[in-house]
Amino acid sequence: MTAHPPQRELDLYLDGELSPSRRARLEAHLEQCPQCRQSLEILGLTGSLLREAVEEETAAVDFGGFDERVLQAARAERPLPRQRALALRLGNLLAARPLAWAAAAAVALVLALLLPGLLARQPAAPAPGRHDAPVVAGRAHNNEAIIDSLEYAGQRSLIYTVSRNNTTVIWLYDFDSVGQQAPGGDEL
Amino acid sequence: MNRLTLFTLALLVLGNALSPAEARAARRAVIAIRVIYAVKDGAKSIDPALDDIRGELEELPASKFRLLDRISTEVDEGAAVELQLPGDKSISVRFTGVDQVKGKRMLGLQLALKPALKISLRLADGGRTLIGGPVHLEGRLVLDVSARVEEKEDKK
Repeated sequence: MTAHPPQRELDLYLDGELSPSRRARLEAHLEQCPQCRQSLEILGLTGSLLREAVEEETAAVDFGGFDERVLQAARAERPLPRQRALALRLGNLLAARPLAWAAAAAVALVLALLLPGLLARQPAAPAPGRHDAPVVAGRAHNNEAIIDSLEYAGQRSLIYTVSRNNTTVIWLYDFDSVGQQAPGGDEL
Repeated sequence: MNRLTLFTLALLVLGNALSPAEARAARRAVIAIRVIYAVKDGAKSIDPALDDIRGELEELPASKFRLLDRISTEVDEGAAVELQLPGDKSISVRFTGVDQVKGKRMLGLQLALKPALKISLRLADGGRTLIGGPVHLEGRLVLDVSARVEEKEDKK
């Protein structure tokens, strides 16, 4: 005869929650073990008595409007502060899948350590000098510019920002008239 | 020393070994200048090669825009280069360094358009500015100056 099953196993059997293989194993044991059969009968009887008692007690209770009362109470509760709620959510997530989070953190750490090295190994730029090359900036780039100082020998200039792309434009109306007035150039 | 500590130390050593250039990095600015010929002449017309700055060009006091030349160069931090423009003109570009403004990386540049203009500005990394005005033929030159910073490896 196999070893006596724990009471939890009998409970699960009564609730029909055992897997087919475990159920077959338990039933084979019950056929040979009068002691466990008796335990099973007692458990079944206790369960029935408990259900009957609960049904009698709850028959007199009015559950009308129960859902609405629960919802009202929930609405009346003050929401948690954002930081606390976030910490709670994070805590729940970490508790639910600790291994997955540990693995994700390890991957993030590896990437953080390796990416700078890999990016630094991109091909070097060509030697300095004048040559044709693609334009550096693109449409999506931030074109913000801060002008720290401007020395202009002419009389009429305009600095403005094109709102669409935030590009700073410097327009010199009389640039060449300055050159004509001072041949040889004013080496600013 | 437990296994986790050893693993972390190994990762740190590996990361350091793979990124030696980062620690010893020096900077240079990659400067690109598009030389544009702008003229006030009838209907609006913009060279398709300038489509990416159409919005900017449409606000300038000219109607036709043609790309004349593209110039690109790299300038080390603290150094300057002089670039020739059409019509015996030239522009000098000095890369003065990198600054952080509101969390954005900005390149410090000094641009000198001889003989009349010298300007110090900080330009967003990868951003551009337009300088227009020098007379060329029947119109004017517009310079589309864009710049980005690049880390360069120490050759030691």
